[in-house]
Amino acid sequence: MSGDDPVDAYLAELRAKLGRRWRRRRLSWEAEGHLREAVARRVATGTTPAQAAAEAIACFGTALEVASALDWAQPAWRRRGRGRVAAAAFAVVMAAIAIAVVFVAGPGGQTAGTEHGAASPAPPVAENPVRGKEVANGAVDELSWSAAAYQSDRGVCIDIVFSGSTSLVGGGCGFGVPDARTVGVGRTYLADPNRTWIFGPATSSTDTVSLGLDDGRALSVKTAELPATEAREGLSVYVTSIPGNVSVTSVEGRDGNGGSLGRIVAELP
Amino acid sequence: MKGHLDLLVLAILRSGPLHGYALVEALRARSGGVFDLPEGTVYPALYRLERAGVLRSGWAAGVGRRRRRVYELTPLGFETLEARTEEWHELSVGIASVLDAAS
Repeated sequence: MSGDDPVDAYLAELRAKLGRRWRRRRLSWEAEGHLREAVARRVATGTTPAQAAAEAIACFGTALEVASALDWAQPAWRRRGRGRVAAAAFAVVMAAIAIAVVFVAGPGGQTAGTEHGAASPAPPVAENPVRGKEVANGAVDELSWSAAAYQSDRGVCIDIVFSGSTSLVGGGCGFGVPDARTVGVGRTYLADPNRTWIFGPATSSTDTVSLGLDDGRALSVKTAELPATEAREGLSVYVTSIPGNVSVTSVEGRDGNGGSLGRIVAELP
Repeated sequence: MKGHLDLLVLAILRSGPLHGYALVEALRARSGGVFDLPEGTVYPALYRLERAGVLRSGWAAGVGRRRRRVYELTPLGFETLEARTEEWHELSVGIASVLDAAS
């Protein structure tokens, strides 16, 4: 390359800012390869060499930006202060989310004129406009909710949406029916402190799921069928809402005649 | 952008090994031009991810006599990508709820 090659000039500036440690030498080497290829591709499309070099360097970032990014990539003990700031910012975001969920769901968390679990699931009625198939619905404080389920490469996924909103308020993925069992169980991770959604998969022969609650009651939930995909067999899912101060202690799958298909002891977080 | 770059890099490399230039091109193309970051800042991110054990790299033949460093996911990288994708899904759900409640 000639002495006035802009790429050479840029690389010299970058090396001066990077220093001599091995990782910096490696970055310098990779930067040169990157810039040479970027220039060659631009020239191949008709751009003049000078213009191609200017564009490639501009896209790569200033030497100061790149050197600063490498400094930011230093071992964690050198960035401890930044880590604390990031952790604090994350905590603020999560707190805002929790407050918003309480606001959306309402402070009461009780379904008018009903007892535990009265926001009972219904059989599948329609394709959910968000994604997946609607498998259950109910109401909390006059706000209707619906649950949609679908199968993915992460297992069964459940999304819970309030009526009139296209925004999800909770749900989860990764559920499967454990081996030698008929049911699995999970709960919303964005639970309203006064209301929790319980959901999980079941074998396709499961007609209802009986949830044992720690207040001594049992709640029967109708399952909904989730069709098979190319990669996964069909199965059933169940979703229901219970008061936040009640926990599920057991989950039992039942067939259409009420016979037990299997039972697990719930170990919810 | 800086906080999400690691996840985006892992997601791009999920489909196979790439060198830095190709990774940047893929990132720009798949995001429809939204993630048009200074290209040079990708390399420090790659080094950081390699040091964390989620990527590994090796030299491969490049254009002319130049060799190129090619990056690929490690088994830990695949696990990390899955976990962080899940975290992102949860976070995006929460943010959408906040925005929806405010509108």
